[in-house]
Amino acid sequence: MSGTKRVARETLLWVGGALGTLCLLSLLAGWLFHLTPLVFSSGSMSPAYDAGALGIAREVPAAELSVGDVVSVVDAQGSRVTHRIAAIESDGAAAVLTLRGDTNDVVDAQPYRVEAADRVAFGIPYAGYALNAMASPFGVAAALLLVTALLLLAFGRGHRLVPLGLASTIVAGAGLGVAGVAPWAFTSAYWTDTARATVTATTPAPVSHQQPVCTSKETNPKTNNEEAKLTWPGLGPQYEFYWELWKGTSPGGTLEKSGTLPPVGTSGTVTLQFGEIPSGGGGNSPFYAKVWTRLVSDHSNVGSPTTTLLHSGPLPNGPNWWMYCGTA
Amino acid sequence: MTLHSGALHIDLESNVRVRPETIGNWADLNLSGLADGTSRAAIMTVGNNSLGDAPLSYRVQAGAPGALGAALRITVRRGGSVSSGTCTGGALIGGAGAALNGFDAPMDLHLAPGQSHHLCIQVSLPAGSAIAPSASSTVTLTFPAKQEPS
Repeated sequence: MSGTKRVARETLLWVGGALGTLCLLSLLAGWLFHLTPLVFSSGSMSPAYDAGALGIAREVPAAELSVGDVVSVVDAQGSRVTHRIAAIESDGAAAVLTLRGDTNDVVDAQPYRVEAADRVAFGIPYAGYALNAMASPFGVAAALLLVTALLLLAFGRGHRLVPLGLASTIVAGAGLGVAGVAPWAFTSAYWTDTARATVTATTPAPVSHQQPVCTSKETNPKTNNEEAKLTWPGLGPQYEFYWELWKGTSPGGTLEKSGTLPPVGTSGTVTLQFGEIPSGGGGNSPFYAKVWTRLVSDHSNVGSPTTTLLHSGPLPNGPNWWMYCGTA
Repeated sequence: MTLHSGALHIDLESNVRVRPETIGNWADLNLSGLADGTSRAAIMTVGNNSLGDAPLSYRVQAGAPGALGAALRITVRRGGSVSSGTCTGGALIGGAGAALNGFDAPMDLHLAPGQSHHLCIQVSLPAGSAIAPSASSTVTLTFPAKQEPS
């Protein structure tokens, strides 16, 4: 072998060995110092760490984390996520992290409770692409070819003086690569986005009851169950009805009675009855009933009251009186 | 592993890459004068207009304040159709007649770039709710999206 060829061979082997040693040392450093190289597979941390960047992260306890740190955690689905801390809440020895990608408008939906997290110290743009290529089937095949070539160079006829350590390092590196024990991790810096739509919901405007229909129960000859009955359709559970019975001519007179009727469904009928008037209530006198619709929610009146004219008539053989619809 | 560059965009109706995106008063769904025991429904289109190879997952969330908001119910059907103020057919998302305020359901399918879902959204006020007349509540429908691996 000529001197030039020997130098080239030695150079190749030394470079290969050095790279392998670096690879092993980085693996060892990762184990010893809790360092994790991270390949960013997506770009929500752009421009600080664009897709394809290689970030170097070191595991630190939760107490050392603060807002603004870029940390790598594992989500509920077991995937590694690297985003920036937007908020942090202490939880004993642990911390609950709210993360957000730098290009995302909203924080991650899932908070992360961690006792320690990989905090990214710095990044190398595009380096992740190279590592990703090396981890691909094509990259592994190329590495195997390279290793084979280097081994042939090392152990080919007449080359037994090549340091065995270099060859061992190359083989170990190749073995790790084939076994999938890559000294780096892929991390998602996933994007988020949110869209919203709003609609104003309202309930119907308030309504008031219809003019009551008045029905007299009047028999001839008079019995002891005469009455005037006012009815109108119910308005549903939102509405109650306040009524007043006045003696005299509308709108004046004297208030005799008042009360409130509970809500009645829209398919039901509200009934207000006036029957026997105690002695002294007045015979053959004009009366009228006013009815207001009210909201159940605050008992406020809805619209104007209705007025129904009534009159009283004598009760047979007694001092009391009955109520009838209309005027006497 | 595929390394992605681009941007994620979930859009509503015919919007394309609007950010931030809020449709102020979604006209398709008319919830004015909603009486007890009635419902209204409309179709919302949710699209993935992301740049790059970015499939997305998303959720359907809803909220409405006040007594009216607490009484409202929601039904979401992916691929459903509107029939007399109700949603029929399609895939039910998150349960039928669920409480609208606090509704939060994941969509059952991811959206690939360029794809869209047609969501039938039904809002109802159950009979006997006894909400005061002229009550008002702003219903907010939120669609948070997250990039998924392709």
